[in-house]
Amino acid sequence: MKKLYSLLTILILGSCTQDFEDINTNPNTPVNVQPSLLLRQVIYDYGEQMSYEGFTAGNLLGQYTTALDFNLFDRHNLKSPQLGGNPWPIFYQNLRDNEIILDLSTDNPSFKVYEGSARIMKAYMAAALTDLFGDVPYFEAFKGQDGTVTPEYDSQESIYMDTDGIFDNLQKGIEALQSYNGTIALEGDILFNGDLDGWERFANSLKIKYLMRISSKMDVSNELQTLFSEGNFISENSQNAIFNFTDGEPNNFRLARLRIGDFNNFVMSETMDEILTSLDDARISRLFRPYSNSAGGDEYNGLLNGIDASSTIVSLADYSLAGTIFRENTGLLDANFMTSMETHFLLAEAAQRGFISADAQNLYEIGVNQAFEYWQVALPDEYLSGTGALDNGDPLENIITQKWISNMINGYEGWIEYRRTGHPQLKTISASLNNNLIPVRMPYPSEEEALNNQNYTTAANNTEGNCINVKVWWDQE
Amino acid sequence: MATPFSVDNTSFFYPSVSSSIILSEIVQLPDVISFAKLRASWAQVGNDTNPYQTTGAFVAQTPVNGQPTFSNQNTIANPYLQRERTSSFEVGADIRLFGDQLSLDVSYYNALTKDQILSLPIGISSGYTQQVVNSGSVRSKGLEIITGISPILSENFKWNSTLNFSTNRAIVEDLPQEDGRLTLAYSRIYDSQNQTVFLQVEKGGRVGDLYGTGYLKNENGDFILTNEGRYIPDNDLKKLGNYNPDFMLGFNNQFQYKNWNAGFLLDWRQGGIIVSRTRALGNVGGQLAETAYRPEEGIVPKGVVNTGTDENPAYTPNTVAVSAESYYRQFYDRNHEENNTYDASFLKLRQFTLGYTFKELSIFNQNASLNLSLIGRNLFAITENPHFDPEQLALQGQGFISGVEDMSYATTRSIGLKAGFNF
Repeated sequence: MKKLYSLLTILILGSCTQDFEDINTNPNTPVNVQPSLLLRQVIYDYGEQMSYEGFTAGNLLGQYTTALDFNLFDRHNLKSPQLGGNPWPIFYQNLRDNEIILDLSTDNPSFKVYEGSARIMKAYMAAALTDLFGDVPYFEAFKGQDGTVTPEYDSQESIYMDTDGIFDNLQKGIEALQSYNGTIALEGDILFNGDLDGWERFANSLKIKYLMRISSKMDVSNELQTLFSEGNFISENSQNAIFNFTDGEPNNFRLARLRIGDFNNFVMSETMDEILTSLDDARISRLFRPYSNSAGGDEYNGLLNGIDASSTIVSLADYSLAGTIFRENTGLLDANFMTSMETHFLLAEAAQRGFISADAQNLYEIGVNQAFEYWQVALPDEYLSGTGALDNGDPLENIITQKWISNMINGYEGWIEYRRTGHPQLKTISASLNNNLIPVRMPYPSEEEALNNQNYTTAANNTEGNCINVKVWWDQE
Repeated sequence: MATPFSVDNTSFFYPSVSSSIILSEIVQLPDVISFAKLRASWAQVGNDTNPYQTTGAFVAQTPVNGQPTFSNQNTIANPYLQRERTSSFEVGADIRLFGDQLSLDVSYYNALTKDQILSLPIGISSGYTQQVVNSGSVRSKGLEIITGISPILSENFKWNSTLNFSTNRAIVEDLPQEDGRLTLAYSRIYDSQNQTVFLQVEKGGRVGDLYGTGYLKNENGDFILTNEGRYIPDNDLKKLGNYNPDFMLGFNNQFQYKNWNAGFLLDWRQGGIIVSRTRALGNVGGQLAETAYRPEEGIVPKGVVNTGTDENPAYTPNTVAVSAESYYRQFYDRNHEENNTYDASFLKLRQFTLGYTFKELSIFNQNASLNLSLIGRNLFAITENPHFDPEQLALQGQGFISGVEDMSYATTRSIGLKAGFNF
């Protein structure tokens, strides 16, 4: 018996040193991956998650809708998100996967075609990240595999302006697209189906958007004028940077999959109600449904944001739920990265403010036309000469308000642009947990405090203790 | 450890020595001592870890229009991972008295584990949520005592009793970082940073310390309220307690009288805390008896109001009432775990049996016996929070988090009938 044991021992030792490569490689998961599989993942995951964020959190901060209960976030306690409201990991996870694409595209000549889209996606996600939080880990971040796991926070200004920052990556992305002369096609591209020209237009539209965003910090008119004159931006809906949700799983909008109670927690905001009503806007029937208690069955009603659910009793039947496009018919809905309508509203604002010489009214009307088309609602003949006319009130307010309506569920865009422009005028909410102030940035998540403490502390000190009422760089006077 | 690329760090060395002396065979002991043995041992062992910790991999995600997608895994693998090493010594004694009717088995151990293999949470700003490392050292000390008593061993009536006592303290002696606390794990709901209980350790601290948030208090420990009688969230993490018990004691008894047998097992756990999310939600929703008190005029929250300035506070007791609904919603709000933390001590009737044996049956011409027993498990427990079992754990990702009960299923009480044949 003893002999048998020692024999066994030797056999086991032998196999250990010979087959370790098989033993230590998980047969069910790949160690390397094609960039096309990552690109499809980054675009889909980011678009899906930010559309969901848009519906459940961005819509609340932008006062498109309000939450009836579990609504500490809607009452502006932004550290207590419920469904949605914690976008931090969405950015970093996708920036990480995107960075792997970027590394593959610069290391391996056969993946060169992926560089342009990876740089543009990096700029796009970085901007959305810093616009929400201000200074964030960026230059050292999302590279934990090779670099630090406690990245430093970088100033918003440097993230926008420095090498490998937002504008730099947009420019380098465009250059990579223009200089690409290989034959290997861009795969996994669910925004433009491999059309590199589409990516270039997307990048130029983003340049316009981010130039407008920092326009209080520096003179951006020359660059804007050049971009406008060259005209190589997204200029029709067919060129939009979007992908379609489907009607069925798994690629439908997430609110179609969640239980009805989650969907029914969100009703039209009073802010939205007043704006759409004063515009006599036909899009109300696409974005919302008549409330159940409505006498004629065709009336809409909104509720002031941020009720105290413990002292206010509201009946769901008195308020308008979001439209069927967000639950029953999500095949009609898009995940919105950048659109022609948004580009035109930005250009209209630039013209109105005198940054570029162009016809603001013309740009505005193109934007409104495309916005109705985007939401699949026929534009009434009298709209642009009546309630929706540029000069019906303050033109600047009209431009931003139209953009605000058209950007429903586009992440946090409505609220971000409100912070920059003050339009549309948002309401003081019902039971604010933020001293009746509308927050102007998102708070860093407490896991940063726990897991990246030293760098977090510096960033918190720069924001009066991670305060949501401290303006980000481009928002400061 | 072996990786697809290297065979470094694959050798494990396991030295150990142990010895024991049977005193009762060496020296003449008093007659009451029927057996006495002393033992001591020292050992060093290496531990490795689960497979696939040394190389990263990509993970399939939701397909898009039928086409595959992949994302990197969220754990940073470690190709340089080494085994963790535990050096331990143990001393013990096994003493039996009165012709083995009383036995006592005592052991004390003291173990130091170095280079622990830890999956540490890291900030997602690094792109990842966990990192596999060798790091830190923990000293674990404990005492275990098992006493067996057989007070009555007559022909018709037998009584055997066992007492099982154990206590353990695991103290962190070294951390990979200079100062501050290290997060080992957390339990979170709704991705909410506030609704998170952190399992953190600090140098000199005890493994099992839980941290969470609560409401603002002054230095006397009184809640500071607003002028409207509302609690003020304090988002700084504070120590809620430690989930490990001070000690555990099991008391097992078996009785036999003629053909009847009976037995019961009592478990006593003393100390430790548990955060209950079931209790938080039930109280916020007004579904538990504890929140039945709902007077028309409202409830005056216990606490103080600052009538001075921020620099020179002066605290006077609060007199402002808030509606009962609002009071319970705030007090038990699950964003603030401190008010939802309970003592996890319990006394449990873990098992009770009652049986009868039919002897000398003849089955298939064989001499046989049949024992019929009624067995009840988890029959009752006495504990601070009566709504759930304090032994519950929370599930986070693929791991269990001790000390947090997160809408867990109730543990079952079972009563069964057992029939045992003996041929």
